[in-house]
Amino acid sequence: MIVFQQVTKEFNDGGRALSEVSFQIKPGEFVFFTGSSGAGKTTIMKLLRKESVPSSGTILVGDMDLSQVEGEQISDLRRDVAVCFQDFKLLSDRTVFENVALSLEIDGLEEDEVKEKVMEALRSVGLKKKDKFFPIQLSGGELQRVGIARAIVSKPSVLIADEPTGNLDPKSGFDIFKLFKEINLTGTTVLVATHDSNVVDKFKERVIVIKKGKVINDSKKGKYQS
Amino acid sequence: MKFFDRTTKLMKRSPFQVLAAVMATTMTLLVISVFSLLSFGSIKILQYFEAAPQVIAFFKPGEDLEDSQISNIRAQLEKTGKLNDFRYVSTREAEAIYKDKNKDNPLLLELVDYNILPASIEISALELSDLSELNSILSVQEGVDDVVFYEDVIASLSNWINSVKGLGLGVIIYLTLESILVILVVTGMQIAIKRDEIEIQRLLGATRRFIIKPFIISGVIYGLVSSFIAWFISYLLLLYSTPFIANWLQDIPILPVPFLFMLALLGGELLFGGLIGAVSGLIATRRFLKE
Repeated sequence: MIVFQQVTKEFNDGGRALSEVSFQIKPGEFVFFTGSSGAGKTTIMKLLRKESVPSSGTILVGDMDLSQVEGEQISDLRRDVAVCFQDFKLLSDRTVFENVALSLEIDGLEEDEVKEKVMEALRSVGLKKKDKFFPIQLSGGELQRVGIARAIVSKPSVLIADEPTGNLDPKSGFDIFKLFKEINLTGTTVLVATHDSNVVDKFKERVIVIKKGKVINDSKKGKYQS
Repeated sequence: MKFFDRTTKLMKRSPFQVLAAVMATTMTLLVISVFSLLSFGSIKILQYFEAAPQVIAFFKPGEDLEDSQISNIRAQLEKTGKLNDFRYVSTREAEAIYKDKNKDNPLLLELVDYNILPASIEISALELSDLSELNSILSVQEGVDDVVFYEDVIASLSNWINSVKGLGLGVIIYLTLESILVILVVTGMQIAIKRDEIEIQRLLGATRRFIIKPFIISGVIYGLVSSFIAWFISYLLLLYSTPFIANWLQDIPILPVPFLFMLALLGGELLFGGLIGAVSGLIATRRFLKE
């Protein structure tokens, strides 16, 4: 369960990114966060992984109250709440296999186990045959698939994606969302911040609409609203 | 092993910085080696002089002392409680020593016999500072012709050793700081090169320990490699210069330097080099890898 309770985030200059935002997300849900640029979607994603801390309010992820999470617990949180980035954030001097394996190296897994899990993750994103490729040899859609494989390889309970298709063409973007849905069907909670109205309307999942740092709509099988 | 793979990759990406770190640390450890060997040699020389008779009283040539006279002198010296060793060398013993030392020179052997050699009393004191008092007792004994007194030699040697140690310590501290700074800067550059990767590791949930480990291990490797190189160079220098030093020191038996001492030196340097690397790596990661 993810709980946002009256969460406010203010910046040092006095500007507000979020104002008393509240919502709950059950395990295994698929949720789109929509809203215009600067609405506060990315701030929510960052707060969920403690890349940023709220000015007030409570955030619960599973049994963790994030205000109490410190030091190495933050690393545990980030491994359990995995992320896919709009700019992929892959290491250009490492192969696809090595990029995905990084998550498991961080988990401290043995080499044999790493190999098995990485290949399984690459198979699930359709890149099994490109494990020895370097990022420069892949298309945008493939790069994002590598990012997704890296995020899911250590079986996180929550997968968040901040504008994952922002750099992709519509066809590749749609395929990526289908992949998120497949991952969601395995029981992983998936939270996606996106501008892509077509996809949001097609998938008919829960949509939380953010505007000027506030939740203005939260509906199941909702439609895209900016 | 995974950490060693990550560490070697890290080092391969910045070979010139690695070379600079190893060279600077090697210089520090080479100086430590040289000063350690100097200290070892100096201490051995001092021990040699301290073990040798520190005051020798020569009596008139060809005249041996009566047993009662020897006992009387010995009693006077022992009464002070400062006597370490006492030895009477008769004219016959002096002749035997002379013949042994000059056995290869028949001309010298022909010219000298016990009648022209003096008997002597050789003593050493428990403390160098006690020599003056013992010397004053010996000097006034009947029949004493001359007194040879080593106090000044030993005091000068002690002063020289202390100066070498002081200078060595100063140079070693300076070079150690320099090595730490070089490794620190090199590690800082490596951190800068890997900034994106570190950021990604953090986002993927890597602990601080996971991130800093390769940097600290690479620092330790610089230290260990430098220690071995420095030790090897110093050993080669020692072997090369052994004939010259042996010729210069003549009878003072400090060469060859025991291999066990060289092994202990290597162990000490590996420990110190590793420590320099670890400390530098830790400082660098604290300085350049803030959350």
